[in-house]
Amino acid sequence: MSLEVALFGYAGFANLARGRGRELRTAPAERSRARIIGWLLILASFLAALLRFGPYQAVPAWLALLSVSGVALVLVLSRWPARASAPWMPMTAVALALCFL
Amino acid sequence: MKGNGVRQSMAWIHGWLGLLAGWILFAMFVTGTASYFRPEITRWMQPEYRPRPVGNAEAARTAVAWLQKNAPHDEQWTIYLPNDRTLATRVFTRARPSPDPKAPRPPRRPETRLDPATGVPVEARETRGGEFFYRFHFQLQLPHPWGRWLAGLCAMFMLGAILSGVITHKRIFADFFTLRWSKGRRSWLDAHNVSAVLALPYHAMITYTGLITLVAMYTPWPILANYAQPAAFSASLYADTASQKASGQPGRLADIGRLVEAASAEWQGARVSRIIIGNPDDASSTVTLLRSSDDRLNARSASITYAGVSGERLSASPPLGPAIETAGVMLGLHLGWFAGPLLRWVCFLLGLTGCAMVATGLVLWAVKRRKPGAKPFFGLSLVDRLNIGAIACLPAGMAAFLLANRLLPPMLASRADLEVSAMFWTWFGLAGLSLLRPARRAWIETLAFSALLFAAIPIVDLVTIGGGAFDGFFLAFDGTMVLLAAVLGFAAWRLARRPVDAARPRRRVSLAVSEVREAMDVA
Amino acid sequence: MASAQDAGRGWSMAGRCLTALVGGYAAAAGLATLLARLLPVARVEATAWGMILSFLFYAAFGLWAFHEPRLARVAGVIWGIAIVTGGAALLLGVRP
Repeated sequence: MSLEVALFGYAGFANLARGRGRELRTAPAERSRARIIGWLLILASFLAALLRFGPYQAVPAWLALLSVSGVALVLVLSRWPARASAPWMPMTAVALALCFL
Repeated sequence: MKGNGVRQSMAWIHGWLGLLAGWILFAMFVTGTASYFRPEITRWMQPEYRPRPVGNAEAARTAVAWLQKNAPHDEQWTIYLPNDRTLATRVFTRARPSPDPKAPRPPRRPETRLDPATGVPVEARETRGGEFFYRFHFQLQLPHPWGRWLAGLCAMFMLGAILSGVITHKRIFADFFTLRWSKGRRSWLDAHNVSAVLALPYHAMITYTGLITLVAMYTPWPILANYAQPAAFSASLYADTASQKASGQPGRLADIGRLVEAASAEWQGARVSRIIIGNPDDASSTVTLLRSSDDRLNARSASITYAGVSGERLSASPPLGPAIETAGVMLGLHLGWFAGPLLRWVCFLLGLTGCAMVATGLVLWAVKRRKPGAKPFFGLSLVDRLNIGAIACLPAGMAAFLLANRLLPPMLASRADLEVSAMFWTWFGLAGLSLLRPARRAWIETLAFSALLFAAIPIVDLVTIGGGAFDGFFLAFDGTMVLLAAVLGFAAWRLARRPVDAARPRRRVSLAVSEVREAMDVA
Repeated sequence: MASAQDAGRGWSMAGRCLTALVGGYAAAAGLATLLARLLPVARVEATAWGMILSFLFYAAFGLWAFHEPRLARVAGVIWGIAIVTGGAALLLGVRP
């Protein structure tokens, strides 16, 4: 399975949402940090896609998985805003583990 | 075209492009999304057919043996080898043209599906299977070529709608994660934005590559500018066996299995997906093997041609230039054959996101023009009714297609056509009946009916095929049907829960404020 | 869109739609064909580039037809491109 791309994507988007503080009330000091973490996780999802799908299929596979994880985040965020971004750290851990499995 | 700003003009054209093509686009998106599982749907629709899987070389041998017995003197045979998703070998034959030059070229005969292990035609209920949704999504069940032209026009409208939508949506990043429920038209706008923006790369890709799949029909003019004989263009792309002349001397084909193994070895173990045999009973017969494109993006596959009698390797397809490679990759991205199980499901979900984008856009058009308390004008009622017919009733038709497959007697003559009729009668019949009900009730009831039909599929499956349904594949298929029923049921439940317009008056003040803001966003 | 107050507006909208749909197609096809004929790459490659890009041209012409307010300009430019590119492709003939 290549779920790690989607997990990194979800965690990354969750942090970007935290960083914007519109749907989630985040302390201003925390926002810029969340933004940086968010972009780093998006980058991680691309690297994971590269690792898993090889140079040719990586881009379409990455965009597809990233889109689906974004849709999932928005759906959860719209219903349970506080809980949507909470699991980003365990998700990142699982994604990392999947990368090295 | 209100105002002169590019955002205003694009918002205006976005609305009309989306509305005019929206209903057909929705049907194309839904059936196209289902087509990601074309082989699986076919497999589910022939539950009695469970062959013993055999190797590629063996499947090629049994197919050639059957063809030598049943169509020995034909001009060309095409054999699609089975794989782990398509279980049967599919063969097509084309008869030799009559010597009279004025006689029309004989058409390709319909497909025969063979059991790979035994080489006899598959004995199972007659059905069009997943092929039906696939064909419908670009032919729209209209006579050739009108269906393809209409589908192309709608795809072109979609491309225009995507481009104008991106230009007009000025807060793409600000609204990236914003989805608010139960806020009337604000919610519809959010849902339309989110489903469009989050999967934008997919929507743009699937629309453009969809046009590319039929480009030779839609814009053949560049071919005419470069080739005196238009057929020479496709001959330079595909393995061309039609130009090989028969010698007139009889000849016998060498062992096909050995050629399949040789080609596969030359491709570092990649599978052979298709075999084209020209002049099979002639001394100068040719065997062209095409490489499977399941493991790469480019759907236009490499090929090797062998002499049929001696088995000598004659030629291989030339390496591709960047333009042909681009076109092949576009084709591959649209078909999604490269996608393994996870990616295929992801593509399926993205396809559903596309359906949601079109559906929310259609609903939004109507919601934006509805005045609380006022009687809707004729155009608005018409759009509302067509929305119900397309969005809420089409799923019922598709479920009816699958249900008919189980409920019609397996050996009934012309049952394949009856399954198709079941889909259209249910779809249009339900849409017609919904006219008898007030619009809001019609939405709820048709959605609930669609949900019920999908929920009925696993039950009917279990009753009609019994223990056969307890197989991983059939359980997964039936489970998916339950999930689809849940999604449709959820939509019906959400609509039924919200009281008609009771919430409106209390919010009038804030609504007025947000309306001004929206007028700026949406134009 | 066509209001009873101004019948002329209905006609001008019809002309605009026709220009966008038919003229846009003709202009895109002409441009793609000329491009395919003139691109200094292999025959098969040039043909494929023309075909791949044709839909982008069509979409651009179609959208611009509804953006530009002056109908005369829209019709002039789009039909003009169609005639010039189509005529040039015809005059040049099939690639030798």
